[in-house]
Amino acid sequence: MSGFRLGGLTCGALALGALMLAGPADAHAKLRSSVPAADAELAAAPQILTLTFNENVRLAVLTLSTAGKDIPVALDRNAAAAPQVSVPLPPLAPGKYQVQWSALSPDDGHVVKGSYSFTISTPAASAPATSH
Amino acid sequence: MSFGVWDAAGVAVKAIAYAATLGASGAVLFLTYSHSLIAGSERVRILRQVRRSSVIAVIAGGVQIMVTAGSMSGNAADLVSPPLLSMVSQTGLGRAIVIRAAGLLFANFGTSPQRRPAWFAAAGAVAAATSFAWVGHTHSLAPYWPPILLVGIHLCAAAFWLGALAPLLTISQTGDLAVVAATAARFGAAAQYVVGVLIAAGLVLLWLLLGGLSQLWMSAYGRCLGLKLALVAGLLSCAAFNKLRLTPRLTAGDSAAIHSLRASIRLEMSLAALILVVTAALTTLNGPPALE
Repeated sequence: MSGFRLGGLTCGALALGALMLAGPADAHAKLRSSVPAADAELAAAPQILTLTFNENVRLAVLTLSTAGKDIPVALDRNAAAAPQVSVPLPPLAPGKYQVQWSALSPDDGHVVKGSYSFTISTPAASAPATSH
Repeated sequence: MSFGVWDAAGVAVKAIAYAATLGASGAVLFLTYSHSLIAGSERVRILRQVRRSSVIAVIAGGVQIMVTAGSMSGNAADLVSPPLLSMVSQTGLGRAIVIRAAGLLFANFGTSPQRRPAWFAAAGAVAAATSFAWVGHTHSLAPYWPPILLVGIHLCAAAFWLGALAPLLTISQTGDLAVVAATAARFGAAAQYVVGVLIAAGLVLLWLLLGGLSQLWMSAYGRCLGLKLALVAGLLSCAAFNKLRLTPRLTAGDSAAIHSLRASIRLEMSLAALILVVTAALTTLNGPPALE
């Protein structure tokens, strides 16, 4: 066998063999559940927002808005990839909130996005004081 | 599913990355196995094509990371957002782009005037062409490594075939009839086996990712794949025409066959471009039915 053929076969085998070092991954990530849930009507403001996916993701973008105004949230973009991501929320007033998120699969760089809303109800008017 | 401007940008830049990388890698492989047939001036022109394609491939990789970053927020300002760019660079996509750039660097060094051993350039070309297999849907299959190897083989064969088109066109424009005939004959002799491997690997992957023949028309992924198969059939027809009709005429000294060869190669290049766009859509927009 000529040197070129031997070299070609060796480099081909090495390149293809090296591919096996690339680990397995899931298909495009999917959101399995969220807390607060989509379309939830809450009596009290949530303190944490949690998104649960079917595979490890890194949450890249999280936008919380109400009545067209963005509410700042502290998203840790340096957090390690995980199937569940929790973000602390600031104190929220009653109203309808829109959540928009984008997550990145660490394996293939594929982006998945979604949005949903939840509502925090106005507390019922406190009962009038009764006199004895 | 909706198809927005970010999806279109993602598909377009991936198709450019495919074309430039497979073009550069395939041209290096072409120069390696056709070295004794190609004159100095033609070799220089083909090397220029390799350098240009390599630069485009590396730039396309960078733009791919930027488009991914921008697509996450849908805000054009995030195309250059350092935290998002850093996040995308750390994914498998970032690793694949680094391997591609390193492979192309090796391939270019291997074809430099101070010519290194042929396997040096070929190793770089193979590494660059197979870099696309480092990410993708096949990583989700269990066991994952046989389909990844199949994708690697499929990519090497695609680079060999599609990457030879531009150099063949260059030689048909500048070379004399005997050189054109000898080069086309050498390429055709090797291509009949390489294309067989390409199709065999592609069909096994199709079976693994579709999860059933009916998904070919029942799923968006399958219909996109059907379009790719139709385009590949067109490309195969052109290749068969070149090998079975035009190459014998060139070998017999029929100079008119050169014009037909040029037209046929241009048609092949157009079909190849369409195939790469469809492949980019296939690997970006929809997950394969077998993984749903």
